[in-house]
Formats: sequence, structure tokens, C-alpha cells
Amino acid sequence: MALKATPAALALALAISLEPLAVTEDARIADGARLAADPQAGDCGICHHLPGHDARDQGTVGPPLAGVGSRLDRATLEALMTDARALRPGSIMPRYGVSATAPRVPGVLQGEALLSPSERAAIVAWLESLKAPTQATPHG
Amino acid sequence: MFPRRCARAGLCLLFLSLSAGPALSAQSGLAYLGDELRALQADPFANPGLLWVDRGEALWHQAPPGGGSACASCHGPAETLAPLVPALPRWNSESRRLEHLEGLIRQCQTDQQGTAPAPYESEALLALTARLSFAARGRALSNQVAPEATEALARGKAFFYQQRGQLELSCADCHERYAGARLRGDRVSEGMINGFPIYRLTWQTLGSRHRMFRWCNEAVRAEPYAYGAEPYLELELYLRQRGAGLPVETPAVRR
Repeated sequence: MALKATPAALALALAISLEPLAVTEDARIADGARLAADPQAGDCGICHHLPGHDARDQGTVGPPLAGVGSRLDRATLEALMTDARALRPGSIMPRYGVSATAPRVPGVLQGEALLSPSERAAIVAWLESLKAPTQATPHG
Repeated sequence: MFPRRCARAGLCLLFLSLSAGPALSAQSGLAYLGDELRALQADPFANPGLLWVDRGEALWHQAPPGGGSACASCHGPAETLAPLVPALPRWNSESRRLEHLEGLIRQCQTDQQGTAPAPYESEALLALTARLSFAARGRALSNQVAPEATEALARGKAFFYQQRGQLELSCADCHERYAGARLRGDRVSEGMINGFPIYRLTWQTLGSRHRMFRWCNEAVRAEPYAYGAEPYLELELYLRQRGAGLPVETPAVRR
């Protein structure tokens, strides 16, 4: 029996084919949120306020991250998560994607970046998802 | 005339560059504590660091095993050494190196009491350090640095501003630039050393200045130095001068 390519069937097929992508992106954002909060990974909360976390346990050295996805585009977020000090000279944000050149790095950490490319990509995805709440438009 | 003036100006610049910039407004870590911890530090019954002061007082009067003399036999009450504490570390012109309180106690144990020196961070050494520092409570950290220690002081300052470790952070990055801001919810202090040894809640015990240096170094994923190592003595000297005028407040309580 031949299947008819009706609009409904096409829409269903498209939804099914896109679902894994959506799940993957959601999972990546969740992974980024976890890595950002993990003291052994990004540890972003030491300097920033992470949305959803108690402000009393968070840092104020850097700006709050709520809404950062509306303030900065993906390219900037990627650059910040790779080498913030190259992008913003004077910043003390760790260089997550570059191995440290400062002295006294323990032998086992020498030549190692703080985060892997996939970890940085996950955090960037999470940061990009942190959109500022949209203003309600007045109805006339 | 001109060269002499230049030389004078150069000396002034050298002095200024060796002096800590914000020393005039230096604030003890106490100023960055919440009300609860400030009250705990001030409470003579609840401050946990006072347990070590009591132990130190007992040790001060106790003869070491092996027939040596007690500290008090030579020095009298611990208070007799109170003027010494705010001037440490200091330059020892015989050994031609810096010496700090822990080192002096250990040296006395070896040379005068005929015993093995108490290990760094041992209960005995912390107790004696706490007792002597407690005796100096309220005395201002000294600004005096022997001319022979000028280079050591400069190295201590360089240490303070040198970024290090995998996080590439210096002492100054946090304790000067971001003093007062919050790191993981805790207010960043100016890194002053007038309260040591301190009772730190994170450690649940008393700890020395060098333990704090090591902790900070490890926090920025830098290889720490050994207790009593020259770079830490030099940093300690710089911080003593940087915080000159602050009163000794041992035993301080910190997060």
C-alpha cells in the first residue's frame, strides 16, 4: 500500500525528525547549566549570580548572568568562554579555552585548558538561552 | 643639583613603589564580616580560637620532655614578647634571612629547649603562636623594615601582584581590586594578616598565615609553597607593611 504524502503526514514526519534535535539542544542547555554551577567545572557562581540560585551564595565580581543571552550574541559568548582576557583586557575572568601561561601551574594541569570545547559549547548554549523577559506590549 | 634631585626623587619613588598603595585605608578582615561572625570574634567565651590561646598559655609554662626549660623560665609571662609580634616577620642579620613567629618558636625549641621543633600547623605550634599573638592584641602592625630586607619586601610585593596558577589570578586581583565584592556569597577582604592565627569556619580549626597563603594558592590552582618558605615569608613581610597600623586581633574568626 502506497503512503500518501498528505500535509498532515508531512507535518508529523517533520515533527518526529526534529524532536531529537530539540531534545539534544535542551539537554545541552541543561548540561551547560550544570557545568556553569559545578565548582569543579565552570564555577561561574563564584563570581556571578546565576539565575535560579540563591543570591546569598553567589558572586558579585562579575555581572549577573540573568538575561545575558539578550545582551550578548553567540559569537561574543563563545569568545568570552574561550579567552575573556583577549576580548576584554583587564578582565580577571579565567581563560577557559586556553592553557594558562602564569607560573606555578601544577604539573598535571600544565597545557590543559580549564574546560573542553564541548563543555564550553554547552555553557555557551545555556548562556544564550538566558533571555531577558520580554516587555508586555500595551494593547490599544 | 639636578642629578641629586633626581636621585632623591628616585628614592622617593622607590619608597612609594615599595609601600603599599592603599595602606592608608587598610581595613582588617573584621570589617568585611557579617554581624554574626563579628560577634563571635568579640565574644570572650564563644570565640573558638581562645581554646588555642589557653592551650598556649599552658604550654608556655610547661617544661618540654627531656629536661629542657619551659618558655616562661627564660621569657617570663608571654606578654613580655608582645612588642615583638607586630614587627614580625623581621630581618635576622645573622642568618641573613627573614624570620617569623612560627620560625622563632621552632628555633627556640631546637636551640634552647633541646627538643624537636613542633611541626607547622601542629596544635602545639598553633597554640604557642596564638598565645603570643594574643598577648600583642591591640598593638599596631609595624611599618618598620630593615634596610637589608628591602629586596625581600620588593619580592613580597611582586608576589602579591603576580598572577599565578591555572586561573591566572594574583592576590591583588581579589584582595585589592575586588575587596568588598562577593565571591560565592562571601565578602572579599583586603587579605590583611593582623588576625592570625585565625579560626576559620571552612577549616573548623585554627590556621596560620602560611596555611591561608597555601589555601589561596590552591584555590587558583597554583602550586603552593612549603610552610616557612622564603616566598611566603616575603609575602608576609609585605602584608605586614601593607597593613601597618592595623591592630593585632588574634584570634580572629573568619569564614
